[in-house]
Amino acid sequence: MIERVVENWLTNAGERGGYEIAFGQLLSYQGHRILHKSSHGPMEQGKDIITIGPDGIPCAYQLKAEGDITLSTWRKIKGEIDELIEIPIQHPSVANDFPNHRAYLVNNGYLKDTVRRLIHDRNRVSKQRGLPELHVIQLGDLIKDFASVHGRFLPTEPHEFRRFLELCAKDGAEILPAIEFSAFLLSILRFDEKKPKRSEVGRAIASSLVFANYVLSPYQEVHNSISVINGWVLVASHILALAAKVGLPKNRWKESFDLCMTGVEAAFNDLLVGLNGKTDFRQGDPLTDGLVYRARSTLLLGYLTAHIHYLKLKNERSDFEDEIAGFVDRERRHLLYWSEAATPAFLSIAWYLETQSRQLEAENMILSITQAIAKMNGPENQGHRLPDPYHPLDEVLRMYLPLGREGLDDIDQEDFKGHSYSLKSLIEWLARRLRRQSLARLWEDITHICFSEFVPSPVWATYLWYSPQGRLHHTYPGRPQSWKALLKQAKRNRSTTVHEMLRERPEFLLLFLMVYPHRLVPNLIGFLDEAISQAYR
Amino acid sequence: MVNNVAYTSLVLPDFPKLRIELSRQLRSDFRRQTHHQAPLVAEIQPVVQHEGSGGTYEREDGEVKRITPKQTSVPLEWTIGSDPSFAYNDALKIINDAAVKMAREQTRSLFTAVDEAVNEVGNALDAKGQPISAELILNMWEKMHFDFDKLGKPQMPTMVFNPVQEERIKREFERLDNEPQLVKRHNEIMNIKLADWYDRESRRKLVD
Repeated sequence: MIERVVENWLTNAGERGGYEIAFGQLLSYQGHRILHKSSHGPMEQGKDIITIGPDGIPCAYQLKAEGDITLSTWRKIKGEIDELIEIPIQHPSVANDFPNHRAYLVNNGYLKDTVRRLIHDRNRVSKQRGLPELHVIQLGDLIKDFASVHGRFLPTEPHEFRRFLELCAKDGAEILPAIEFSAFLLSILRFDEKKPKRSEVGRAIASSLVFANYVLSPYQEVHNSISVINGWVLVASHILALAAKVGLPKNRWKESFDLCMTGVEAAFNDLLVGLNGKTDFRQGDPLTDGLVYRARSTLLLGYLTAHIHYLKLKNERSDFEDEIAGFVDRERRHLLYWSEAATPAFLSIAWYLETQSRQLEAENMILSITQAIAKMNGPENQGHRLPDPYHPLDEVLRMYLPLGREGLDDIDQEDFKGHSYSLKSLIEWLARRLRRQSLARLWEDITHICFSEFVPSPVWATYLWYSPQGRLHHTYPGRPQSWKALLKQAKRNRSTTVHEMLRERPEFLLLFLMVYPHRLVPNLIGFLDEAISQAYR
Repeated sequence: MVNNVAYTSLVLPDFPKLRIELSRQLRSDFRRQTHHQAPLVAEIQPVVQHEGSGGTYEREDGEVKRITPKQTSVPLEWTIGSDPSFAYNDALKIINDAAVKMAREQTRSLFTAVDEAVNEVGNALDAKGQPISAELILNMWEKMHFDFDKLGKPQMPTMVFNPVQEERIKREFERLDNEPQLVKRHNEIMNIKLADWYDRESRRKLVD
């Protein structure tokens, strides 16, 4: 079965990105140290992945998803193959005065006889010239390697296997269903095992990347970058959860985590390249596009600005800063606060505006959503209320549109009156900016809302979509509230209250909250606020 | 509840989409009927907890109180609808019967919780065996917390009593409306409650 599953995945990987991360993970598992994964720019010089092999020899890989390679395909890719072989590896960890690496062409099909002969002849010449020979990893090799390493992590319980197949068959244009994807990851990572062996945990983590790569293929195929980003952030988060749960040493999980982040970065790159030159975010049937446009705009601006913060927190810059600035300017008027799940996107945009010296606009934006929560979930409102952050976007949009009740079971039973998951974080955000007068004007409405915060238990369950244990904690705004006390609370140092894995990687934290909006709590926002402000100083 | 039905086999034609719709409809009827049967419970706003188990809340004095959820369930029994005459109304009847039982269970749980809370804060009023009277009602209101609307109209509490006392209660409320002494005391209590409410409302502000 596993061979068929792997074969199906590989042969349907329309682009190398369809299996690139999984292949990187396979190399890592086989003992390679990954030095570099290309972002597919002109600097890649024929090398998608560069590693140091288990025997200490540098290796360079060119990945293709061409199916069977015919003579015409070979002519098309020959330039990259030449670079792969003839240009030395440019990396600080590798001596690069002469090509001394192993060169691999990896492809999800087989070589036609003519091409096989050409490579054979070419290798003979290369040997005479002292250049590396070209090794070819074909479909059969890939199937064998993937199946032998990851086969037994394929879900075996019927309902789990069914979930896996259903996820693989999803329409790639949809938003990735995070709940199902998380449940799938839990089954691959064997979260329910009481005392797993550390070696097994490492293997399960490696397999989760391979299967995730498979499940994310439909989204990758149609360049649904937001879903791909969400997917890799979910995998990365589940890796953190498992590593923290079993106390796995960092060197046993970090490479897998980094590969997930490579997937995130590649998806951002794909998104930005796709948006380049566009002046708006329209797509599909114009008749219905207007009904979802604002939600799309909000999501995209949230993710685009989060990408800028992500890079800045890594002390890097985006090549697309001007394009993103243009989008923020044009699309900001379309923002839609559809539910509390949109809070991280609004915060990300507000932080971005602050970095552009548009402080007042940033603060007014956060004030407006603070007011929206207090009014919409307050006692006077007789209309729609703001749903909590647990509900997926499409479910919330259904609620606002005159459609049937199908798909509304969950949200229909809830009344969001009188409580909010993000209000306290927003109040503290505004307090740190000394917006006392504005908060004073809103305070009466705010006092009608209870602050809700879920506290996962144990702490590592923070990284799971649903924490089986933990408690929902409610606090009430002060009546009256001392400004001094509020300010002190808003400005207190949060670093000790944030789990170390997030504390060590603030750049991941904002992406994590974009995908897990129900994990947004005052401590994390306070910590991120400080980290972002320091990064731009 | 309806989800717990054990399906015999998926090999036989099962019409899953239709059954999901039916199940959704029946559950909706169940909720509506439960609320109808337990109006007091229906007045309470539910808060859905999506993950974890239980909760806590912080009181104004800073004390954190634990909330332990209790499961309320009722058994649902029927002979499987292989009877050729089994129709939607039969399913509805089963659901309605269950809703009556569920309403009873929920109301009982509510009274237990209220009883515990009232005893904890020492707000219980012991009538010492006296029958219900206008004076007793006023004594009770005196100890209670009242909210008012923006026009200053009190939001009167819900009273729960045994139906056999209905006539007596009506009579005592008429006394409250007509006997000058009782009207005067009633007004005095409400004025105090209104002043308390204004005081509470005036605290909804940001201060130094």
